[in-house]
Order: sequence, then C-alpha cells, then structure tokens
Amino acid sequence: MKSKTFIFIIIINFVFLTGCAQKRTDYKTLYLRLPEQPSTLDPALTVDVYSGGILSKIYSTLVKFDENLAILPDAAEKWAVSRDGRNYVFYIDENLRFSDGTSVTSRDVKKSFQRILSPGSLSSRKWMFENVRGAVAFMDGREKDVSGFKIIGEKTLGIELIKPFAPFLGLLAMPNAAIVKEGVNSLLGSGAFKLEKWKRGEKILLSKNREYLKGNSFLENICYRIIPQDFTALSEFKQGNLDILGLSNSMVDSFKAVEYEKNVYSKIGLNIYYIGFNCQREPFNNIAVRRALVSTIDKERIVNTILASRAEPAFSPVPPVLLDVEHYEVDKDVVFPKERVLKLLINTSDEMQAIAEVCQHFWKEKDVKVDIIQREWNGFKEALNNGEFDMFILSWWADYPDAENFLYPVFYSGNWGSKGNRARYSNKNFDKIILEARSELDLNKRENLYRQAVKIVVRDCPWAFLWHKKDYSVIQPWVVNFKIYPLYYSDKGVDVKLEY
Amino acid sequence: MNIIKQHKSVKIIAGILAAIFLSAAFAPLITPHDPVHINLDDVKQPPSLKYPFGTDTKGRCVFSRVVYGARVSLLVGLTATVCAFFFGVFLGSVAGYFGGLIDKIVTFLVDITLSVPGLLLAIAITVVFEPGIVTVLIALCTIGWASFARLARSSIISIKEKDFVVSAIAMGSSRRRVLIRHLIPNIIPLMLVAATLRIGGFILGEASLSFLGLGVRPPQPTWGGMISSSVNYIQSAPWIAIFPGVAIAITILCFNLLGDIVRDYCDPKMK
Repeated sequence: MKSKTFIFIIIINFVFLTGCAQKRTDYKTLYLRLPEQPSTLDPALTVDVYSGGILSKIYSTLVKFDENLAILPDAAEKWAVSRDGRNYVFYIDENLRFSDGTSVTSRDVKKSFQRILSPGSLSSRKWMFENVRGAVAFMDGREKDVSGFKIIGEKTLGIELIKPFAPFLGLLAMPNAAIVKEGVNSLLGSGAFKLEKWKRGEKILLSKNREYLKGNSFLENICYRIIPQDFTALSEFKQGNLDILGLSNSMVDSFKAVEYEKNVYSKIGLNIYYIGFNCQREPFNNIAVRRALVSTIDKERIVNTILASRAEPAFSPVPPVLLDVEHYEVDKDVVFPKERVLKLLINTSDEMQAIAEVCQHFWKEKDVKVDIIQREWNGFKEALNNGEFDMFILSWWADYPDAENFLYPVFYSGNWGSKGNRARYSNKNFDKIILEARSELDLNKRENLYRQAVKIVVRDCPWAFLWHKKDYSVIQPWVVNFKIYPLYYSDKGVDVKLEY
Repeated sequence: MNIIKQHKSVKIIAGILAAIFLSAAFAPLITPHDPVHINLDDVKQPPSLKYPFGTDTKGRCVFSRVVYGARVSLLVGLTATVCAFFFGVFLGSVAGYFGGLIDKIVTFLVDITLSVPGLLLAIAITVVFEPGIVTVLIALCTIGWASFARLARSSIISIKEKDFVVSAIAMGSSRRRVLIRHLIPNIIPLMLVAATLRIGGFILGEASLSFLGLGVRPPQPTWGGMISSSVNYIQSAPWIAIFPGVAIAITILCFNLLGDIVRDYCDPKMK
C-alpha cells in the first residue's frame, strides 16, 4: 500500500511540475541560456563571450556600439578628439550613478582602467591601454599613476595616447573597459542591472538597477540559466522556459517550420574561422604547399552541409561588413606535401572535429595524409602558443569592429604565439603597412592600407580562410523589440520587453 | 553442462557476444561502406536499404561505423581488463601474502587510486599524453588495477593460513612456489568473475573518454565518440546516436550477465 501511495505522489508531482513549466506567469524576468559557466565576472579579467554579454548589462562603458556598429554615448555624454588623434576628452553623464547611489566620476573611470594595468593584475587585456602615455611605466611599477589618464574635472576625463590609434574609441566599449567601483564584497557597476545571485553551474540572476535612469529597462530581472547540452536548451525553449535562444548547427533544423519564420533572427557575425599553418616549419614554410591545401578545401560545400548554411564562405580574413575587398587572385602553382603525415591540432568541440574530418577527407583525395590531434582547451592553447603543430583550426572574434582587429593581432610578426599570430607568419611588407594603417586617421586612406595588407595575406596564405559564421537567435512570440547585435557586448539589456 | 541448464540465457548471451566478436573481426566483409568515407551528398539520411542505420552529419554510413566501432570498444575493453587483471592480481597477491612494508605500500597506492574519481583520473592522464588508443588503455589500466589488487589481497589473506598452505610449507615448498602454485590458482575463479564484470565498465570508460573528445583519434569510429558528436541531433536525426547507444547497452549487458554466470559456475554451492 505504501509503495502505491508513493507512486501516486510521484505521478501527481510530475503532472504538476510539467504543468508549471509550460505556463508562464512571470513576464518581468527574461530567461536566457548560457552554454557554459562564465570563468569570471570581473571586467578586468574577462575574455569570453558569455561573461562579456553579462557584464555589458551590469557595467557602463564610456561609449557603446549600436546594432549597426555606430559608436554611441554610454557613460560619457559626449567626447572630443584632438586633430592629431592623440588626445581624447570625455564628459561623463551627470546623472549616472553606481548601484549604491554614488555618482560616477572621472576618478572612478581612471581607477577602473588602472585596475587592468596595475602590476599585480592578471588581466590579459593590458594591451588595450599600452598606447596610453605613462601606461608602460605604471605596469612596470615605476610610476604610481598613469599620466595619460587625466582628471580634468569631477565629470571630465582626458586620455592621452603616445601614437594616434584610429580604433581607440572602439576599445573603450569593450567589457574590459567597464567602469567599476570596488564595493565591500563585490564590484559595483552603473549599468541597467546588478548582479543578484550567482549559483555556480545553475544560474546567474541579475536584477534591475534602480539607480539607472537612462533608457530604463522594461525588465525586472534577467536570469541566465546554465544549460550545457544543446538538446536540453532546445526542449526548454520549446516549453517556453527560455525567451531567447542562440541557435547552434544542430538546432537550426528544428526552427525551419513556417511558424518560426518571424521569430528567427540572423546576422553575419564579426568572426573568421580558419585553418592556420605553421609558417615556420616544414613543409608549410613553403607558400606553394599552403596554397595546395587551401585550394583543395571546398568551403561552400562544408557551409551548405555541415554548417546548415549558417555562414558565408570567407575570401579574406576581414569580415565583409568591416572591409569590402575584391577576390584577390592566388598563384596557381601548388605543391602537395606527401613526405610525412601532417598533424592537425584541434580542440574537443564537435564542430571543430567535424570541420577537421571533412578537410582531412578533401586532402586525402590528393594523397595528403593528415592526423587529427584533439586536445582539451588548455592543452590545445599551450600547444598553439608553443608552435607544436603543423596546422590548427581556430576562430577569431572581433574585440572591436575595425578591420585592424582582424589583421594586426593575428598577422603582425611581433604578435607570435599567445598574442594572436599563432601561424607564426612574418612578412616585412605587411608589418610596415599595418603599422602605418593603425595610426592613419583618415578613414579612406586607412581602408586602402588595409586592402593592401589583406592582399599580401591572401597571397601568402598563412591561413586557409574558411567562413564568417552567422549568428542565429530565435525568440518567443512574447518577446518584443529584440535586436540582434553584431558584437556580443553591445546589448545593454534595455531594449527587450515581454508582452503577453 | 549444469550451468547451461541453470542459465537458459547462456546460449543467447554467448550467441550475441559471438555475433559482436565475429562482426568486429570480419567488419570489412559485412559493412556496405567505408566507415570513414565522407559523402557530403548524403548527409543525415534516415535508415534505408542503402544505409541500414542511416548516415551521420558528414554523410558516413552509421551501420559501418557501429560495426567498426565494435573493434575499438572490444579491443579496449578486453585489453584493459587483461592488463588491469594481471597487474592487480600480481600486486594484490604479493601484498597479501608477504605483508609488511610491501603490503603497506600497495594498500596505500590502492587507497589513493580508489579515492580519486576514476573518470577524472583518466581525463588527467589523457590530457598529459597525446590522445589515442594507447593513452586510453593506460588511463583505464591505471584506474582499473586497484580494485583487482584489493580483491586479490583480501582473498590471499583469507586463505594463506589454511591447512593446505601450511602442509605445502611443511613439505618444504619455497614461499614463491606456495604463492604461485597454491595460493593464486585458488583465487583465480573469483578474480575471473570480477574481470568479466569489469569488461563492461572499461568499454563504458572508453566511451566516456571518447564522448569527452579525449579518446581514440577521429575519424576512427568509436561508439562513445559517435554518440558524443551526434547527441545534439537527437531530435532531428535520432538514428545517429541511437544505434551506437544500443550497441553499447547490449554489449555491456551481455558481459555483465556473463559475469553472473561465471560467478555461479565458480560458486561450489551452486554446483
């Protein structure tokens, strides 16, 4: 008898709970999915896309990008740039306050930036401010202050650069440049939301920041649920337990039906997927060998089959949104390496494995033997930075929307290894052009220099350019005013509304 | 013969295991397609006459991959069991019989190995060495020997004071001879039962490592790897994950049932 009662209770519970899941009563909380736990929510330390998306809702930055990549005011109401491009003055919004009610001042901004640069800081984004006067001396511990960050007034901050750097303003929109105030146990922000609760492995809950007055959010809470498996996220969305869902390759098929047509949003992402060759090692120190392997990959077919057409084949490292380039012709002479088995290094993601297997298949048809070596993420990165590979597959995502971000970090000869140039590519002519472009303030001239740089890279083939991946998101019918942003950190959480 | 009468399922289990072994051994003869051949024109095809189990996301024949995958699973399962068995029985018996410092060292190592979660230790090993079938074997042996060693040690301790051992010593047998000729043969039946029960665990271990992308190198098919790369397609193309899943389930079930039968066979009370 006891066991029957027990079973009965379980059934009742099950019915009750599933009933709850399907019925939405709370239209003030936005439910989003995180595929993995963010490593940190400290703006100085963050590098991943997931934490960047959360931080943009908690913290203000001096400027921000809109959905068309135009720079808009955020913490700074307005700003001025000197004619030589070396001096910036930012006027901070008079009404902007941290979540504890204190006003945001130029001192807070200076402190936040110096937090990244301080000698004890573990931030890997120190490069953002390396060009600011006095930054290097401060990082080495020789100076107590960065002289280039100037407190002009309570609400006015000046920044002086050593050399003009055209994309500098864009850097200030990155989540690492967030304005923080060190609270008792946590960092306070001045964004539309504040961190309420972080249950590791389960969820991150943000609640509305009552002190945030501009473009006030329609939402009371944002709940990020950590759901690693795609199929779990998919069924949670279909049950109405998630409001917005970023779609992966495997999910696209589930939303092809007409009923979803209006609710699926897509845009070209600012990224490049590529196969990098070790340009310093046999046989890939020979351009003809690199060209041979590049010429065999049928990227259109991979895009149409494996990627479910969720990408645009790439013909240059720079996404076309940032720089229009013609299809440069590549020399025809090729040499297929057949002496030894080549090592293709990848991480353990299914997508990378799929790409690797298909490329291996294409090369096999030309008798090129390739071994796929899978390493988990840390081992993978270490092997990459040390140059222990013949080839590798990786993607590069924009930190800021400028073609320079797809050229200088990844191809400049001074950036070998962890700085971004993992293919260990080196071309003096390219180096000269890209350095010139970085300090060129005239947009047309700069773009012309970028085109010349791209032409060199396309000719030299340090990478096989694969594709620029599109971002797909599906929303529930009750989500209103959803915008899809090309940069992961642009969404400040003030647009979306839930209406029933 | 008694055992077959008692366990009517023994013929079925033996039949299924024989079928799995034979199909793995003669994989090239029975598979309709090359298991690693990618065909981007036939991606995610449902089961049909051409592809009995359908095709995966890269247009490879799932049936051929399941059959070839059996090779890796069985090879890893059996080799790891044999290695862990010999290593564990040897160390456990020596520790149990000689006692003293050797016993302390072995018990200490066993305790350490058993206190670390098995899969975590295996992952750590595959991270240090380059992934591949040998690394998987090393990882599985490292986590597997300890339970054999502990069982062998306690069994040896329980019989080493028995009359037949004492008489062997009285007859002038050396300690080595007593251990090898008298003690170990007595614990072997028990150890064999443990071994058959472990095979399934090792197959599952390989599947877990491949599932995490730390097992055998792609594109070589393994059951765990196949499930791993297709688990997200479970709604749009369920056949890619279901068939290797069923193969793992059946194989492990058969080995576990076989273990039960061997135990009954070795148990004097059942005879």
